[in-house]
Amino acid sequence: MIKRIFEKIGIHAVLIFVSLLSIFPFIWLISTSLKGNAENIFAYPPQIIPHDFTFENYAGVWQRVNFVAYFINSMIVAGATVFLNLLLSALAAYPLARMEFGGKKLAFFSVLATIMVPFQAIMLPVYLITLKLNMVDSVNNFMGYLGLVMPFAVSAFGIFLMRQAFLTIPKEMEEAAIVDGCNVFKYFSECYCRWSNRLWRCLRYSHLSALGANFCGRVLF
Amino acid sequence: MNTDASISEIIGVMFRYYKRYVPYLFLLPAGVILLVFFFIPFFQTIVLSFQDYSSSIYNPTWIGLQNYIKLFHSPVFYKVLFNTFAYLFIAVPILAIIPLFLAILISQKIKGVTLYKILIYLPVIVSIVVAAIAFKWLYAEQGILNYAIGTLGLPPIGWLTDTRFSLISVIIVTIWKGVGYYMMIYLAALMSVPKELYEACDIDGASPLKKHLTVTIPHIMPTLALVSTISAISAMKVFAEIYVMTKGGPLNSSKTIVYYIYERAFENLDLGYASAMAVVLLIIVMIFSLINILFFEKNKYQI
Repeated sequence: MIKRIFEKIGIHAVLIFVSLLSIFPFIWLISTSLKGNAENIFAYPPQIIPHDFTFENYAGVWQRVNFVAYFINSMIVAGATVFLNLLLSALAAYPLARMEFGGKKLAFFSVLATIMVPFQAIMLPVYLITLKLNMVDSVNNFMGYLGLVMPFAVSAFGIFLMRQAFLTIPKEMEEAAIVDGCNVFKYFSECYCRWSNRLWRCLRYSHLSALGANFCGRVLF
Repeated sequence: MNTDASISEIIGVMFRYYKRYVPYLFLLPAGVILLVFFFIPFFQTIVLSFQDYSSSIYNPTWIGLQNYIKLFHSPVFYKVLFNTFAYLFIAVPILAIIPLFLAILISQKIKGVTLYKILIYLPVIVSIVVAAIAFKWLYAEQGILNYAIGTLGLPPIGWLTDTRFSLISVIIVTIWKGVGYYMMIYLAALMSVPKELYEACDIDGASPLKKHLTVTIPHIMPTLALVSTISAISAMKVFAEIYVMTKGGPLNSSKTIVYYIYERAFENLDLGYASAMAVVLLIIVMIFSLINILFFEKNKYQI
């Protein structure tokens, strides 16, 4: 019994230590952001609790840089990318999961090939193509956004995730719908997209978090 | 007969007639985007790598394998390749083992599991740029890390400014950010280990260490391999940490292959040379990806 208690204390100690390591950089970041002008942020020894406690820096960000515009930019790019990914991945995944047609293998392996090639290896021509399509640093804002969104509008990851979900939906559903006079497009939009609701949500979140980290594209374009 | 019915009838007839084109219609939008932003760039990378852009960006000349020859005679390229593989060989084993250890601890019956999961997963969801800036503060010459080792009586280290430490410092950030992600993958895998086996171990009086070595590890071997290949692929592609924290410096000591491609292409405008490097990266990553697809995620990518 006593051995079990010690074991638990040990486990908690390790997990608390790792958790602290995980959040410490954020604590330090927040602490520095709350330090006022009167305080030397390079003070030695470093101070976690600010002496000159202030929210001025946060106000300063709003005044000095056009933070709202940056935020709106991020939201537009993220939102458009997620929307296009959901729509186009689902469309492409459906025939790969449920239909038989000539060239299915070719289409399947073409998508699979995109997983194997890192974006970094093809980023130069992608940049040149967006340049040729007038999608870079455009005065016209809409085209500028397109340059950021279009290269990431379809992901093989999304297509395979959708395909997996479509495969789990019973085929009898589709047959029943077709007997009742439902065409493929209607069936696709009504049944599949509602059935895989949970999956859409999951894909949406994964894309949003991935976009937060999608820095490579931002630097380039 | 009302108009609605006749329109839907016409659509129905057209639909039956053109039915065999329907799958292609579904694939068309994604196909066009993949063509323009994947397949064309893919082949263009290969074409670019045979051209010389360094003399004039507008009039590239065809120089055959010259870029590759230059590449394999360049000491910087070997340094960069060495750094990338150092990244791989340091980060991958740590990212395969520490998250497993944490996942085993978290899967024990203890209180506060959810809180631990959230805290350890936090670095994953934060933008790498924010994380890199936070670490830049910690690594500063007068920063808190140097203070910490100062209290232990050690001299301060130039974490990002010393050629001996800069690569390790960047690797630490990558590991810090990856632990939570791989821990979640392991946690999912640990759920599938049959409980009876652990009970049998307890009855036989096996020690916790032996229990995990004989039951857990063999059961999650596929996951272990999967985590290794995923982290290897992402280690080959590391860019943002280096861009924010060191810009590849000092003296190329933390420059990896993707950063070097970026630098040659967008700062020196030497597109041909950068593309030749991109082809080398492509071949290396493709090998890892093929291993991953053929052995570990086979059922996910089956027709």
